[in-house]
Amino acid sequence: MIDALLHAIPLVFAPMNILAMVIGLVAGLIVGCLPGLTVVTGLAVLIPLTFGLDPLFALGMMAGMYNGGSYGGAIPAILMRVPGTPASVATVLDGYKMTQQGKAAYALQVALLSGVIGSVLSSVALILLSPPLVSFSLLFGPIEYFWLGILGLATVSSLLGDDLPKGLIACGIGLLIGAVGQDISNGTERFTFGQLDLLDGFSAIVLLTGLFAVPPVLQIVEEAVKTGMSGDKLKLHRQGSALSQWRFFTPVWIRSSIIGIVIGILPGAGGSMSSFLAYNEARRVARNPETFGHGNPEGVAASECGNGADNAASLIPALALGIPGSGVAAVILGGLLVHGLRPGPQLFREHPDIVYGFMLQFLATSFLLAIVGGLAATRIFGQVLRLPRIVLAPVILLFVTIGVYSVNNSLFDLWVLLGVGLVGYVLERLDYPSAPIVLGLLLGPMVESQLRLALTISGGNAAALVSTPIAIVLALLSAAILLTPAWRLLRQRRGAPA
Amino acid sequence: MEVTEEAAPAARAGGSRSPVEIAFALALVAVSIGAIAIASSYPVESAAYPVAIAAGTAVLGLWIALRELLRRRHGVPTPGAFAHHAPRLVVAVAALVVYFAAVGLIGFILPSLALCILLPAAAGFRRWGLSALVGIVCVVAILLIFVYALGRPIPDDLLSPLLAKLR
Repeated sequence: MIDALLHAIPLVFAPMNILAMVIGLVAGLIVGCLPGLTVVTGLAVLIPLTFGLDPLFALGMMAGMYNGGSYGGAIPAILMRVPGTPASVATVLDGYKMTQQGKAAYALQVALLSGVIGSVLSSVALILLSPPLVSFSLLFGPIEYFWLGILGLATVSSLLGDDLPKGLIACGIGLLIGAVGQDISNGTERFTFGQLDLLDGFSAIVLLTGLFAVPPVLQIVEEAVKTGMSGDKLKLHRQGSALSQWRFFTPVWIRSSIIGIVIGILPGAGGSMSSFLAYNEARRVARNPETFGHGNPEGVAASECGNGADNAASLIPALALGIPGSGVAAVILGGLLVHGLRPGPQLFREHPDIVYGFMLQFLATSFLLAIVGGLAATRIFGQVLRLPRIVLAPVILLFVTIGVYSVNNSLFDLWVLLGVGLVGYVLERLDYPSAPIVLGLLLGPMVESQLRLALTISGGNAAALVSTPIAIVLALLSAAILLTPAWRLLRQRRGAPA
Repeated sequence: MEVTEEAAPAARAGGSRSPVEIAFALALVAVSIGAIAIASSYPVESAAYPVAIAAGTAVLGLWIALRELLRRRHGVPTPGAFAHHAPRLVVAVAALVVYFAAVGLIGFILPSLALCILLPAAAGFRRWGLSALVGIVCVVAILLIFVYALGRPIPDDLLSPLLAKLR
């Protein structure tokens, strides 16, 4: 691991890759601070644009966008009481009160520093925890990989959303889309309808972009916000240093980082859950919990640190096992696949410079965020908040169009983008989670091929699927996760008065 | 999330998305049954996987449709309007369809400029100058970065001869 890290360092700090990280951070800050756009949307727009670029350049932009977007959401949360991303909702509670008390600049500093600390610790966790997980996964054969895929699908389907049937349907849609194309084992064309463009299946990049970038465009037009933020709110002046009060904030940072990292690793959790849990924990142990919600900087610190801490951590199962722990991780997984990088032990074996470089890019962008997200930078990049949001809808579409077209030079892909985008909008409005679709699309082919391989090796004996201890554990975990909502419902009904 | 005054008439009216919920679930059932029918002509080893998934999706779709019907019968349909603002949603979808069709016919540049000006205008935004400026800046940035710097392709464009001279 140390060797791989040392090899990756010069690559990560090559001038072009530093530039990529800075571009990603700035783009992430802008996407994060624009209400209605999330990091997932930003990544969905970015990934097709990076197609054909050097992998580390592209991954540097993705890492920067993730970390930058994570903090960017705090800017309108603090200045306008409008969370830029769902994960910034907890930041609003104390951040906006601080703005009302004339402490906006201080609140932004606390948010930035806390986000940076959370992101740094999360990146360290990614670097330290991924390799052992990869070593463990070397014990896996086709049977275990089949169950691992099922476990990933089960967790994300059941946890990303309040409605299990809808989560499972979303997963089913992804699996069906993943089945389109030529069956590599016997050449059968499945659901291609004679279209040559579909022979290799739907392009993951087009589907990702359609699902995550088109629905926000429609929503922006529907909401039609025609005014931007007042420029006065961006006249920020330095108000003391959050860094000089490190003793005061350190306990909050440590607790929130641990919460963020643990939540980040757990499949299906992350984002807003990390920041809320960190915020609640900070309030629970505070000497003066009644001040939370009334402009307590500890509230901002806890929320932003928890939010930053789940970023890189959510990629631990994604990079090591190919099982993303969150919607953002699923999209990044798609981004890796677009660049021909299949996560799992193979990635660590065949491209150690890239995978460790990517991890280091998370660490580097965490530090760079301290510069790019500073008060002066916030004044500059925050200007985008003054732009009426309705103007942004066509802008997003332009970048998406050019990115998607240039992947295969295909107009057909643009129509697929539109179709998937419209379906994505309907799914979103009806509360079907989108992440399981991506998971189904990415993991479906793996599940099918590993299942076939396992059955071929066992001579068609289905009992072989539960013939190893790891397979049994993974199967039981999958079943437990799928049955948990039903068990919860049963308990609620029993607990309810007759 | 801030919303303009006119942004959510359906939500204010307390509308229900129930009909769309049922229609979409039934559409999923139909697509799943269609997938099963199509896959039945494939060799067994190629058909088994999509048939199993489609069958599961059909059952779940039916479950959701029936659940929603029961909710309606009990007078508690799923609350919340389907669209924030249906007329603007229709305009946005139509604009996207026309835009992609135009990109196929006359290329990227002119439809993109038109989209940047006309889509906000269709939603009631009247600062044409700002829309045009944003559109021009974006199109020029895309051309400079993706076409000239990175050598990436754009759809065949009416202005391609002009662009070639500028290279």
